Amino acid sequence: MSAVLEVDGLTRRFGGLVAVDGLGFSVASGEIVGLVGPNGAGKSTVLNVLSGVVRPDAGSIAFLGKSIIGRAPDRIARLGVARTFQPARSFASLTCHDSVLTSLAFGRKRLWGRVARDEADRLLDRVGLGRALDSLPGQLAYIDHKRLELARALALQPELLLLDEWLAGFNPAELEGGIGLIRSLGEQGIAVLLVEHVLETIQALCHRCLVMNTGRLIASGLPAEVLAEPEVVRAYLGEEGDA
Amino acid sequence: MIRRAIRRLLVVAVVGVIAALAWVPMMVGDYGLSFAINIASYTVLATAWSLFSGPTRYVSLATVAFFGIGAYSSAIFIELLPWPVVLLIAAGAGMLVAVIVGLATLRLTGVHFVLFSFGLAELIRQLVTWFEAKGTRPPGRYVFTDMTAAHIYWQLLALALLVFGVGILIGRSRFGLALQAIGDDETAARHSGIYATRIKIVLFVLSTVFMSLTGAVMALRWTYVDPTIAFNPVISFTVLTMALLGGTHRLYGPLLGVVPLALLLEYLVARFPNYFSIAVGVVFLLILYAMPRGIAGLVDRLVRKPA
Ligand SMILES: Nc1ncnc2c1ncn2[C@@H]1O[C@H](COP(=O)(O)OP(=O)(O)OP(=O)(O)O)[C@@H](O)[C@H]1O
Ligand SMILES: [Mg+2]
Repeated sequence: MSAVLEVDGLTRRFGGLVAVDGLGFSVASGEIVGLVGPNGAGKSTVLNVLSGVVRPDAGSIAFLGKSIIGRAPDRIARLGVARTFQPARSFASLTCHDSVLTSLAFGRKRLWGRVARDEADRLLDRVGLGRALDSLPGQLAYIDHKRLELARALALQPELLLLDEWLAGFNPAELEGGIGLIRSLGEQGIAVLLVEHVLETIQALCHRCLVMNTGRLIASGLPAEVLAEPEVVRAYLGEEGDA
Repeated sequence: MIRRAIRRLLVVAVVGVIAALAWVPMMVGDYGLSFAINIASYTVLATAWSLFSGPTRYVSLATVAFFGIGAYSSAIFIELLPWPVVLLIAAGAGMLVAVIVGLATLRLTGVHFVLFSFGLAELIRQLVTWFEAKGTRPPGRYVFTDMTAAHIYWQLLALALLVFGVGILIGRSRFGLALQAIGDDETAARHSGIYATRIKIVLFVLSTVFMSLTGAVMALRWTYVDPTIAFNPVISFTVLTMALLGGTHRLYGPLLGVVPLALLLEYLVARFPNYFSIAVGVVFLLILYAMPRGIAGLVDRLVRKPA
């Protein structure tokens, strides 16, 4: 498997706080990698750095072999890095269909017209929103918001998909569907990096798992093994002890 | 089949309306023509304003800055150069300022942008006043032309058709969609691959070009301009109010605001000339409270069948 994403020595400070501290990892095409860690560990910051929202203070990020550091978010999106947000974002005045069209129109293939409309319908169908093509985001349930956001991300035809707690708040039935959907994206060859708090979900879905605590990578490997490591258990218990 | 017939009928109707509008100078007297010129110029201004400010929600009070630049271009060059060249200069000067303003301010949001746009118009007015005062001539300029009121009306009508044409093209293009997305959530738009800054600047410039051209043509009508007339902030407020009254989410929306408000203002100017700006303010407040989506919003609600 070839690496879609290679990160090395990634560091980002906010004032005196080191939110991401010398992080190194890679994600291969078709691989689903979980990023876990207690609140404030720096997971969202990693996604923000990768998608160009914040610049790293040090380190390198290679996407498909090329550095993307310093590139604007829209440029990174057009190169094929898609993301979702925590909490989900949407375009209040655009229907589901038109929301998805935006990413198709400005993504890698710049699709427009009939082709784009058909593709938008297909993507919304795929995430389970086929019945809500003409709905506005304001009319959607929480879960459908998330589905719409994923459809928009997929419309960029990404090589790398960054999901920030996309599965949070799903009920058991929805969770099963959501896991199946993300798994199918991996099978399609998309590299997926997903932040997730529920360890069962990580176990069920991820090929590999990275554990962060206070900005640092404290463990990585197969989910079953990593999540049993004493330092990982301590990081999580420590969090619960604080709470 | 039926759709095609309807479409054909629509085309015939549009052509008919345009022809009728072009015929107006032959049908009405001086007073009527003067009112038609008023309507046409505000239609261009409000539609152009809404082209950019509608979807992006950058509420601009700089309309008169571009209008005034156009008016002054006319006043300065009309006796030196052929009219089409004067129009090009007006458009070019407005564009130059729009690009600079766009680069400097489209990162501002909300009330910061509103205040800046207002300040910009005032700043340009002061600059022109200062510049004109350096010369020995009196503060204003006379605009001499042999163009008649009908010529002026036709030019404004052409501009109105052009702004609608451009609006239709934008609405059908990916850029219309992008503006809408930017207005809703610029961060999410950028992460959808939309080069938001570039798109905003291009559309801002495009919308202000129409304002500059309207100013250039209206200077002929006024025959005399000075900075307080050409850069009168009431113009910006009136355009904003008309666009919001009509509704900015439809291309035809501003037009629905221009006609009733122009009629009202016409009446007020004749009856109570001092209350003109108060009336604009009252209508403005009424819109904000009573119909945030303007007349076009009411039309939408009537047309849409209850779910
Ligand atoms: N823009 C910012 N400015 C200042 N501090 C920030 C900024 N973004 C994140 N931080 C800080 O960096 C640290 C890491 O935050 P981050 O959001 O990456 O954590 P997280 O792992 O995603 O947490 P959670 O599980 O709660 O989502 C936190 O202490 C946070 O307060
Ligand atoms: Mg987070």
